Amino acid sequence: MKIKRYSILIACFIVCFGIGAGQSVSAGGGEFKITEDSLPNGLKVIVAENHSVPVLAAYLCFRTGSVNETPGTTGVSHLLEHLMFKGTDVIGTKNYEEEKPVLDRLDHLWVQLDDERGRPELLRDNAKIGRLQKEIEILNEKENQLIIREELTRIYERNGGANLNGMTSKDGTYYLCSLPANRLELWALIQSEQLLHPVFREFYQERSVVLNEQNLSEDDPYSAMGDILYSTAFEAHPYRTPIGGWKSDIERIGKKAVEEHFSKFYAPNNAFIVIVGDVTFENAMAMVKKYFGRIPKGPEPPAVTTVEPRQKGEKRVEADFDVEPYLLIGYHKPEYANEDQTALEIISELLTGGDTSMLAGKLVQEKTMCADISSDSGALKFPDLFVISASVIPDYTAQDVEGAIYEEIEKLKNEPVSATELKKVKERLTAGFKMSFRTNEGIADMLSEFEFNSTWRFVNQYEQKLSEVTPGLIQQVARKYFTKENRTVVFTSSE
Amino acid sequence: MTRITKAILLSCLLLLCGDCAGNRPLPDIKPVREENPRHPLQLKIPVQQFKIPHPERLVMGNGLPVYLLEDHSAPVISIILKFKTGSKYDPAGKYGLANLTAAVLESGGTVGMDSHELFSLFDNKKVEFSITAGPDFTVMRAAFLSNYAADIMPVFFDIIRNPALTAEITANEKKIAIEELARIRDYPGNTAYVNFLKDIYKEHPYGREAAGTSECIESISREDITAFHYKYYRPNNALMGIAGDFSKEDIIGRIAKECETWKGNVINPPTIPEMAKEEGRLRILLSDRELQQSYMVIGQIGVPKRDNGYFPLLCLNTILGGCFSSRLVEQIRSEKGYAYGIGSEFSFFEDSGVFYAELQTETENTSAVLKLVLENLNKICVGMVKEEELEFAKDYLSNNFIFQFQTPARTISNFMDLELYEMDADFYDKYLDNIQRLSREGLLTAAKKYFTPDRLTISIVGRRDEIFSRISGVGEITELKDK
Repeated sequence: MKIKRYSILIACFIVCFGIGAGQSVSAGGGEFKITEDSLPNGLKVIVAENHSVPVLAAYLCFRTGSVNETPGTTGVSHLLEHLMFKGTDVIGTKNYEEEKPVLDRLDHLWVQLDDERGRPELLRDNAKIGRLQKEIEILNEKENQLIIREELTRIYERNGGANLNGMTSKDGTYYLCSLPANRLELWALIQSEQLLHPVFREFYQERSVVLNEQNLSEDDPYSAMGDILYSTAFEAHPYRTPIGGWKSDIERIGKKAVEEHFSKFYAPNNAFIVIVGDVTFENAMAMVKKYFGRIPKGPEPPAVTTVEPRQKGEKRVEADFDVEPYLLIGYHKPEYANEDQTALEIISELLTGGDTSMLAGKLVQEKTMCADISSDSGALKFPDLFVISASVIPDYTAQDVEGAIYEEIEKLKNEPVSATELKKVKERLTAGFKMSFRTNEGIADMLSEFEFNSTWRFVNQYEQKLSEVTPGLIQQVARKYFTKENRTVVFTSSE
Repeated sequence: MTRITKAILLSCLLLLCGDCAGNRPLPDIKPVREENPRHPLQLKIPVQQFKIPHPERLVMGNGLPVYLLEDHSAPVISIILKFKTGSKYDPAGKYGLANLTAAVLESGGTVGMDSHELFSLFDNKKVEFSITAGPDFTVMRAAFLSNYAADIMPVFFDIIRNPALTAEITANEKKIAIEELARIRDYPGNTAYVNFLKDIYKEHPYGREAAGTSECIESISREDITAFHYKYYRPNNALMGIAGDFSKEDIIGRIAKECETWKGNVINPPTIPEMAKEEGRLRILLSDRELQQSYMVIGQIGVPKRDNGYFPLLCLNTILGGCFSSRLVEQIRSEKGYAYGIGSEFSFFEDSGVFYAELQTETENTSAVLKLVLENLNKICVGMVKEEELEFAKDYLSNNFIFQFQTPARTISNFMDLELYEMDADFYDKYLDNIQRLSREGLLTAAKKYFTPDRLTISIVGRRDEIFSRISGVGEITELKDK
């Protein structure tokens, strides 16, 4: 039920060692097996067995997010993610046959109300608005008598459901749940029924909840500046849209747009499942087949074809927020499944991966110009940004810190990283990857991120890719992307 | 020679009952093509066994209790060291000392290994390391791959025993602490909570931010930090826990070697002022900030975790706002669409606790939401909860229980807290029974005893001019300077 932001991503997981389908993998002291299969309807299933505690984490993921939205209905992926928790024709209702006409009438009235409210103030018919609101209120009362509010969530919670959540990102939508391991069938039943017979009841109340969530992002200056960075750096590609959408769009999205989005993108052939925990592959697959096998294959979803044109010069935004000084620098970089990605991840680790890294060592530890500095090499499906963010200590300006950052970046371009330093960074990334094996959710996060960006099997190739990165390649990649004309800078002043 | 006392080694078998998935009558479901059930109520959940992993507790010769939990499911070792000191022992005028001491220890290196060398070691081996001071306790944690144990264990002890505490690091950390303090206040929800705590605890240390104040941080010297460290960071004032992928013999050997020369000290912590008496009226604190929403914290002083009221309060909170399927969330979020984030919780200090509801809502809905929260707090004190609410809460708390032991690090930290908070050692063994024993009558008695809805503190951060008139009838408003 929240928006997943990519500011602190999984750079530390992006290292691998031999994991293949159906193989046992030894990870030092631990051992688990990852296996993949697909149903005839195209649904991919990835199962990782971890028998340490009798619990499981189950993720249902759709390959659709804000990148698939168009002007007028931005925010629809996130709104749909919320509505999926509203139940089905048998979950959340006392009598769907009676409920359905009430829901239909409510939709009809809300379309009129949204239209009327959307008219210019002088032309608005307030009496009509009043009449519509009154009838809606009466129908809401009727609806209240017919529904079992939040029954779906209550069933999960009373069965010990933990980490119950939905998440929307630029590329994907996730439904997450952790349960005691004996509840796998419960999860499969609910999730498959949500796809087969969803009912978006309490639609307009939930739209209002989503608007509240969007307001929270606007009140969080650091999150708001992230949105400004993307909407400034991207002119054509839909990554420019905030994940939650534009507020004016959310205010007007109707149920029809949500249903269309559901039909287009929520097909099993556009989805995958990750199950991690105290299950066997055979049992998990049997359960997934039994419930998800019922869902028919859908048409291929429309592809994103817009390509961001090359940036022609530096873009700068001085944002007016009453907060401590803050700085974001974004450089355009290619998609995740690109040959330069591994070098960019190593660069991110060299710059900010730990207290002795180039930027944290210099600007936080040595000069105390920043309270914190981090970077993200970008892990999205389409060309994205390499982002550096810094919390500036007010003795300095954002520009002082910016200058110091560029000095270090110039070093990356001009001086080759020593072989010893590069070896250490590679070891660090490997260690970070192994550390993520501690929880089912950590493993599921890693597998689903890989699967969204490319394929979870990427973990098999990555160690090889890592070993191919040389000091020369790092210099070459730094020179290619870290240029003035390719960057966008967003900062607050120290005033 | 180090004497090792073996204290308790318990092991308890507990059954997570197989159950029907819900509690209402089966809905009238139309026949479907396939044989699959269509509603979770139609499922029979298989029985599942779960054994609570109990750590072993040893006491080293220097008085340091050590909890051990060997678990080879992931190649990771977690070490936790909890010291019985925190911001409540900050001397007057030096608020923030415990926090700054922790920060300087975390970043400062040791006598034999400067900070750069230390950071390089941790960075290169991807060691997760932190020292955090809370109001009562200071927690030092490290997690690392088990094959690095020989490199990391001695350094972990070295940081505590021989920290460098240099003037340079102290100056840097003071700057960073002041900046972090300012950034905490960039988040309006934090401001509302800080104002709330200050109002309910008045001059008691629990009413202060552990981070201190910028003026106090400025006045803290290297000598203050050295003295604080010397006094409190002692083995007889700490608990240690180690969980994960190690061999017991090896790890005890390493700890014992360190403990041979790490000595305890007589520790006389200062007397803490008495807890403020509750004011006999409802109070509203209003802080003006230009925001989209109103950020609200509504609550009161609660009880410490060891109080007999713990289980009834846990259950009451579940029903009121402690999970999604609760009164506050259903009424304010699902039915009205007034808020995205809404919920209630208990949090605990060593000698007290707080209960509060927290939410954010559009400015124009401030008054309506406040009214709903107050109504619910009143209602839970005057009438019994419904049978189905109690049954739901029992199922929720019982089935969720297993997640308290999801990782060895979490398990060990939970057991260490039993000792720190002076709770019964068999707390987890009796947990499910205690939940099952709860009754509607018992919950009402607890609600009447512990909740004081006519004497709450309501802390709001938002657009003052639009909020003020809307809530002026609710209670006396005190306007606070923002930031």
